[in-house]
Amino acid sequence: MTWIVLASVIGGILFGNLVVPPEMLSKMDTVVTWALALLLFLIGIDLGRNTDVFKQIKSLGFKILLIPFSVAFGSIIGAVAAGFLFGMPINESSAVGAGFGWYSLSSVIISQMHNAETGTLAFLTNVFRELFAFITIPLAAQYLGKYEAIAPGGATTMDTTLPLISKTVGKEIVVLAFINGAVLSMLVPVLVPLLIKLNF
Amino acid sequence: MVKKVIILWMILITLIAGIFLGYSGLMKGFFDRYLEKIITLGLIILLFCMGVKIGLNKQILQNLSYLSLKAILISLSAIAFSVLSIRILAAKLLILEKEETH
Repeated sequence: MTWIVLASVIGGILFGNLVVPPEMLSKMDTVVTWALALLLFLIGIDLGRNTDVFKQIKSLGFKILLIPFSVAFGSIIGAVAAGFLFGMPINESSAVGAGFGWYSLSSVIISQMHNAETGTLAFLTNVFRELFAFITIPLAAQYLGKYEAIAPGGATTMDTTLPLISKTVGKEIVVLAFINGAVLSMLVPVLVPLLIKLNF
Repeated sequence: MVKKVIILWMILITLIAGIFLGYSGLMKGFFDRYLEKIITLGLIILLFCMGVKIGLNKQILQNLSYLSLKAILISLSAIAFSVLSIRILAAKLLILEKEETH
């Protein structure tokens, strides 16, 4: 999947650089905006049909939501703090941080609603987030604790980083990690558009 | 500016409509079989379009190494703060669990 994503972006860059005339951009933008709305509808269906997650949250108690909410809070604060060093506007840094490692979705939303440069930054930041999660999860599991090991993965703890969490922390954490990833995945398409449109 | 506000609401409304449709279980068989493939295809098309926008913007390609440096620091900071945030919360949760066992 990572390779397909990279190939799509690089293919697009080459196509845009070599083939597409710049005046076509505004026409393309309208079509892509509709395509994005349609894609979010489909992603909504995908998130909504995870009825198991809703049932598990109910049975474990809503206190469980504190885990994904504090990962979300920490990610956004961390991104804003780092963005501050580069003089980034808060709407951009917070939206980039709210990708929570879901690089494909956060980058297309930001590139479409804001600008291509911030979209590129969101793509790179969230690719690195996933990459660094693979390195930091075992460290957090060993030196900090089982809950801390869920934090680095963000939204990816429901799929790509889940096997690693299971291996380094233990099977008892798998349900929590999955819920964490599912809730954060739901927050990405809500928070990224809202934050990028914030006015400070 | 007005147009962008409309895009924001369009996105949120379609997303929420989708969540309700998915939760309702309507057309479950169709979605179970095809939804992931359709979403992957949609993301590929949109990522390609994002690539085209990047390709048309020479400034981004020239700034790529600076953008990567920013991306590395932002992602590390986001990871660090989310671990810290969980550490504070986990401590609280553990205290609660201990109290419950007393």
